[in-house]
Amino acid sequence: VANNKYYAFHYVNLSDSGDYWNGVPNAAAAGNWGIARLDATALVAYRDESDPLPDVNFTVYDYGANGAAGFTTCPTNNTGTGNAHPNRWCRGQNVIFISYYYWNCNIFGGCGLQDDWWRRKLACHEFGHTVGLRHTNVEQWRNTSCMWWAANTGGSSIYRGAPDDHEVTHLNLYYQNR
Amino acid sequence: MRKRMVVLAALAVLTGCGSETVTDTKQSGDFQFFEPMRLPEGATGFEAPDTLNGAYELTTTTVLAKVANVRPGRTIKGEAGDLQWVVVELDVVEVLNGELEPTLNGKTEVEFAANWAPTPVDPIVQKMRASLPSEPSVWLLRWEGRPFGLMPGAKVDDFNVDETKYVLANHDVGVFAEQNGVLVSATASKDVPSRGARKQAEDLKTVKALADHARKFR
Repeated sequence: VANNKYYAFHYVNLSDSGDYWNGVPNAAAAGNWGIARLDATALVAYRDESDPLPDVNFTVYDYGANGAAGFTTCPTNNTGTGNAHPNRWCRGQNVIFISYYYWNCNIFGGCGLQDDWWRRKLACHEFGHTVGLRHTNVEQWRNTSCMWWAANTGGSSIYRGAPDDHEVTHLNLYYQNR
Repeated sequence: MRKRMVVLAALAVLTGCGSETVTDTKQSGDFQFFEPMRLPEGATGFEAPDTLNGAYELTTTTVLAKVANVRPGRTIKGEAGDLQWVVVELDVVEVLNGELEPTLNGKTEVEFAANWAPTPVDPIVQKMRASLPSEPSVWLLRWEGRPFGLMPGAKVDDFNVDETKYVLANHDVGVFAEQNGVLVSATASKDVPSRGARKQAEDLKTVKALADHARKFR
């Protein structure tokens, strides 16, 4: 989670135009979408490449066929106070889109990175993790929350690129006075 | 009162309010072996296909196999950290459908992403070695040298894969084993609903019944 409502993202080697090998097209645009979803809550989320101690570093990399479209991690060299504990502050979290699953998608219907809607959902999902949201696994929220546990749910035309009202309420209550 | 509500709400955020507990998380005996193979909470995995036949189509082969050994694997270095892998060596009892990759001469090794450096991987390996499953289980595997579904412009030779290894075709339906007499997806994420191919497999109840089902898919 974040220590306060002011939440800086640092994009690492992301091209806004995208479409380069080892990358995922429009990943930066997806990140902008995810930041906007958080900024619509009590959080003040923004992109700042000049911040030497950002809350989140966002990048794209080929970490192989590991089974995940994206990761959120709290590295051991983070500058917060939480290490990997989910209930404590971690500054310098890493959010990674796994480019392997953009280029080499063997999952039915897509891998969660193939079009803009999926990428937006994944950014919303991983960024949601960084501020404390956990996976949603209740069937009724499968198509209504970006925090549903899987990246490839349904077709990309289904709107699910944002936290649902329930999750937004939690974020507002948690961060409004921090 | 207001302050108390805030505290309760915060706890709800952090503890996954509204979660359904679907998977039996009680781990006993050799079933603990599979625990490190699940994706962690911070990873966003993939739902399995709607049907078991659809799941088989994702594989290079489906095998009935016993675990022979576990060892540390490779490390993929990157700016966001170094991802460390672990290798599971299998003794294949029977190829149920598909075929083993011929260039590997029967060697069947499955790698999975275990953790991020500098956290050591050895404790995971030791823990898994101490709980090797005593019975065969059903493994849905994909050889890493078999790309498909490629996007235009993909450079296959540049993929960060190990062509001497297999990976789970999909963690949701990666390995099926019996736990306390019940067939479960051993590598599915915890507290995730069983649906589609996974539910179809688990409804078959036993490794034997799932193996029979897999044999019919050619």
